[in-house]
Formats: sequence, C-alpha cells, structure tokens
Amino acid sequence: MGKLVKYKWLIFVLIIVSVLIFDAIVYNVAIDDRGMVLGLGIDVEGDEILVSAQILLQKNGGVSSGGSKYVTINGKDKTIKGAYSQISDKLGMDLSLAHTMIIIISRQIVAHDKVYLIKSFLTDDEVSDLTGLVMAEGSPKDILDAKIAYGEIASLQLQRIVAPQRSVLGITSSNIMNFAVAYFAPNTACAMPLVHKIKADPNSEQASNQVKEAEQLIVNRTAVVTKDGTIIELEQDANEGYSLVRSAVKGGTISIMGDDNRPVGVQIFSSTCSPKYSIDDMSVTYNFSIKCMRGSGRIDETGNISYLLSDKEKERFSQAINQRVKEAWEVSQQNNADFWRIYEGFYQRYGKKWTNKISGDYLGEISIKTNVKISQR
Amino acid sequence: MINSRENNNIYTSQMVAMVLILATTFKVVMLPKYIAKDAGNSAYIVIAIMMAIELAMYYFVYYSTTHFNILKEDNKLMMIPVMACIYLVCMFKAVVFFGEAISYVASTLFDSGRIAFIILAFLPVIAYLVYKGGNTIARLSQVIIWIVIIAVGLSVLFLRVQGNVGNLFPMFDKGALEVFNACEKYSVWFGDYLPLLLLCVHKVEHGRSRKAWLPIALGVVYVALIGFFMLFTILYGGAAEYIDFAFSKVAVFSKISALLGSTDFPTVITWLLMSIIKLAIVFYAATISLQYFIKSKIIAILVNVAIIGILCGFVVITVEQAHVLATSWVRIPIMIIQYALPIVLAVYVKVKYGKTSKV
Repeated sequence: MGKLVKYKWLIFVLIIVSVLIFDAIVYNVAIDDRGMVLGLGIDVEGDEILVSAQILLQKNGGVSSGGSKYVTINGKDKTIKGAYSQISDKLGMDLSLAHTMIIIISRQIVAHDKVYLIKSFLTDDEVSDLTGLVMAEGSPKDILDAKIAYGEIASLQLQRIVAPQRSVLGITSSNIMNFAVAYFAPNTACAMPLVHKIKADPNSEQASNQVKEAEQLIVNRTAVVTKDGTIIELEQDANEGYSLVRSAVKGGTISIMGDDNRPVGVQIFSSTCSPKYSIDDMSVTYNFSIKCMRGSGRIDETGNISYLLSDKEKERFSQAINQRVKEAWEVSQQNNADFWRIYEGFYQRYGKKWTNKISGDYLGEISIKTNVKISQR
Repeated sequence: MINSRENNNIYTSQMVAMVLILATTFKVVMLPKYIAKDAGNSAYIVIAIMMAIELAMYYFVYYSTTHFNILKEDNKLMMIPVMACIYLVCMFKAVVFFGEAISYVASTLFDSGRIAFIILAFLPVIAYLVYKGGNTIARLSQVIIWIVIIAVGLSVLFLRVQGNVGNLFPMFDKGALEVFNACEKYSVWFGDYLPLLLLCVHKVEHGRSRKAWLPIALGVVYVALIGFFMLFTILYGGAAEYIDFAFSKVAVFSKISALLGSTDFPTVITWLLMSIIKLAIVFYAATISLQYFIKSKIIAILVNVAIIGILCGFVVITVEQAHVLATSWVRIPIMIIQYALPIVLAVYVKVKYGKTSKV
C-alpha cells in the first residue's frame, strides 16, 4: 500500500489523462453543433407521424446578425424517434430538445388515437415537463411556418402568448405535465389552448423585405380532449369562464353595461377561485376573489371622476362572470366531459364515499354555484 | 481484529454529514416512482413509516459505534456472522444503487452514454476512496455536505410549484394494506445505517460534545424526505408512477428566472457527488467485511470491484433490472439482516462492554 502512495503523482496524472480521454471516447456533441429545437409540431399523415421542428441555428449568428437564424424542418416516420432522425439527417446536426418551449399537436393526433405520444414526452427525458402544449386548428406545420407579424417566429410568439406567467383571461395554459396529470386522473378530460392563424399586416421589417402578407396567431379558445378521444371546443365566453375557474388569472377585460348605459370594460388585475365541494347536495361552489377596476372613469355622486364600479355595475360584473362560468359548465355537462376535474375534487375530499355514490353520468347530478367577491383598487 | 492500521475513527459531526448523504441520496431517484405505483398518493406515508423505523435504528447504531470499535473486536464467534451479513447486504445494495446511478448518468447526462465508460468513471474513484479508509470518506462527506446544503437551499428558495395539494388525498388511496406492502417491498432502499457499524464514532470533538447533532440531522432528513415525497405527489398526481429520476424532474421547478433558468444543474452535480459518497460508504463496508475473511484490503477491493463491474456491466444493466433484483425474494433476508443486526450488535456491546468501554 505504501508503494502506491509513492506513485501518487503518477496516479494523479493518470486520472487527468483518463478524464481527457473520457471526453474523447464518449459520444458528446458540443452545444454549437446541435440543432436547438424551439418548437415541435406533431401531426399524423396516413399511418405515419409527421414531426415539424423549428430549429435555432446558432452558428448562423445571433439576433443582430440577421439572415436565416431559424429553420423549420419536417420528418415523417412510423415513430416519433424515426421522424427526429430524419430531421437530424436533413439538418446534419443532432437535435437538442432540452430548450423546446412549445409543442403543437394536431386534431389528428387525437382522432388517430395517438395521445400516448404526449405521454411519451413525460416519460422520455428529452423535453422538459414544463414545455407548453397547444392544439392547432389545422396543421401544426402551418402554424410553425407562419410569417409572424408581431414576433420573430411562431414558437417564440406562441410560447409568449400561452406562458403560464402571463395567465390572462381566456387562456388556460397547459404543459406536458398538466396534460399527463389530467390524462392519468380518472374520468378527467385534458384541456389545452387552441391556436389558429389569421392574416395580418406585415411589420416594418417584413415590409422592408418586400413581404406582402404576414400572419398573426390567435389563441382565444380551448380544446378539451376526452378519454374517448373526442375534441370539444370552448368558445370565447365559455373559455373565459373556464380560465377563471381553472387558473389564477392575472389580466384581462370583461365588458359590462355601465350605469350611463354605455359599455364599459372592467379590467381584471387578479382573480383566484377556490372550489367548495358538498357531497350532500351534490354541488360545487366556486368562490371567486377578483381585484378589478373600471377601464374608463365615470362621474360619481360627488361629481368627481371615479374608476370604481358602482354597486349596480358590480352586480352586472358578477353576473357576467356567472354567465361565463355557466356557459363553460353547460359544455361540460352536455358533452359529459369532466375538464373541470369535478370527479377528482370530490374524490380527494370524500374518497370511497364519493365513488360509491355516483353513477357514470355524475356530471348531470352536479349543480354549480358561484360567489364573486370584488375588491377594487 | 481486521487491521490495526485501518482508520475508521470518525467524529459525530462527520457521522452526521454521512447520515445526511446516506439517508437521502438514493431515496429521491427511482423510489418515489416505485412507491407511487404501489401505494398511490400515500407514498409519503410509506416514507414516513419507513423513516421512523430508520431513525429508531440509528439509536442502536450510534450506541454500538460509540461504545466499541468493531475492527478491534476479537470474538470470532460473533464477528464471522456479523461480517458475513454486512458483506452480503452491502454488496446487494451496492449493485442495486450502482445500477441506478449508472442508468441515471447514461440516460440523462449523455446522448448515448455507454455503460462501460460510466462504470469506468465511477469505480476507480469509489475504490480509491475505500482504499483511503472510512476516515477519509467521512472527511470528504464533511466537505461535500456544505455543497449539498447550498444546492438544496437554492432549490427550496426558488421553488415555483404548479401542483395540486389535493393530490395528497384521500389518504390510503389504494388501501392501508398496499401502503404496508410497499414498506416491505422497497425495504432495500432503507437501512442505510448498516455500513456505519464498521466505523468508530467519537462523541467528543475538540473537547465539545456533539451528541445533539445526530437527532437534529435525523429530524431534518425525516422532514426533508417526507416533504420531497409530498411535493412529488403534489406535482405529478396519478402520473407519478411514470416519472423516472424524481429529484432531477422536481429540480426543474426551481427556477431563478425565465432568463437564468432553473437550478437543476447544481442539484444534478450535487447528487452526483452524493452518489459517489454513498456508494463509497456502502462499498467500504463491503470491502472491510470481506477483508475480515481474506485479510488483504487491496485484494478485497479488487474482488468487490470485479463483482460490481461484472454485475453492473453485464447483468444489472438497466434501472428496471436493478428494480427486479431489489424486489426479488432476496429482499426478505436482506430486510431481516438490516433490521436485526444493529439490535443484536447493540445488545452484544451492552452485555460485553456495558459502561466500561466508551470510545
């Protein structure tokens, strides 16, 4: 043993050399030689999976250098990994999915019973569980190819719109983790924002590059995917009601009729919702706590300009909230789709007492109530 | 007696650092997924029960290690079965944990990590630490624990959870029996105190008693592990049983800012250090217990390196194979040994030495 100590410097040098050799023999691609995937589109064509990847080419320069910094490349194969390989081969680089911010799926994914693909994102370590998830009205490839008027590329623009930090009225952001948690919960339908594109005026940079037509991404609806593969859409008002129930809204405007018989926008600063479940009368009471303010001033009783809602306006605002929540609830009941996570809510509180009590059509037996507490600043 | 030159003397503060590393490292990798699969949302109850037993066992370990030095014990009738038991348990655990560590590194830190190279990276480091002795591993733990505390502190400080606390309910979702079955089925991931029996702990350090440190550390470990399991369930709910490498996934939720990203990288680096320490402690116990029979430490190290290298390189290659091994029938004798041995040894020490031989 003592002899080994005598050769400690030799051992030290050997360790250093082995570390250097280790890097050479292990397949380890430098970050510059990777295609950074910012957004993924997943679609079905025939019996194959079409993957579109919006990729940042780092070697083509930074933001200020101009030129083609992003490319969208498609790959088609029986498996998602096979499609990645095709994209990688076309690009001549390994793909890195660690920075993927958004995944856009098509309706075909649900129609062809390929929702398991989203589950595979959770179990594979390539994509972060917090990667945003949206459904495209049309082809995800078309969304990624959009000439974005109000941003750089579709992936970045879409990620900004549905970012959970933003959390505005009418957008219930979803990510791989949220989707998987709902997917594995009993009787629960999964919801995600629905995106489509419309024509828009080119921005100044596009105009100077002779771009005649630009596009804008719109996210004002929610797609609900049920366990049996049906897709239900929540239109604007129902969508707003749903977002108030499911997320802590931090912005948005709801129009009501003012005391002066003119429409007035009520600006929401924050809204939280806490549900209260009662198994005895099979009801759920949604208690909303909303901080808001009148969008435009009104002359109050003292003759001053006030941005506070009058009592009657508060009542109308509460009714508007109630109406939106009711619309979303009707969609849930009519389609027997539990995207409100009613089953889960009751089960967590009542356990087997709940499962023993309900029938298959439990949504029909549930009534909902709303309480809106308004505070103004 | 094994070898009078073997330095297995450590201080209580070093034992505390080792306990913090030993008791947490491999409980936050695959175990949350396995327990979630069997016990559903009551995984945290499983960990609460098993850790309560574990804490009680540390009392016996601390009593033995502070009252006698196992390496200087000359009662062969007692020591032969004790060393044989420690060797079997530690080698079994070393294979399971090494399999997990290799799988984690191969599948998450490299594009296509080749198992052989990862074994080559781990084994010489661990073997060298074991060669240097228990005292060196203890001192290294004492240094690394500060890095662990900083990494965990950062993770907790910037944790932004988007989960549902309701996922923890109803308690005993799949039934109380499933919870107790899970306790027994995954017992191999517990009993981390066993390698510590081969150390000799000094209560007094620089003239000051550190007696209170161990209970405090165990309390911290208890709360931290239950908290981690609760957080895991809050985040993933029913999907928890599909999530590999739990600590790595949870670390992503600790985000400094959108621009600076998450603190998962320091967490991963720290876990790698912890895994080397933990494997080194288990490997040390296996080596010293084998040395009792074959006398040469170098040969004991080489034999164990060969066994681990062959088993992890050719037999227990994937994390699934490690799981199958850990939950096979072998777990029953392992469980009996890991819970009976510290008690038997403590009784032996009490009877033979009583209050006459305090370290």
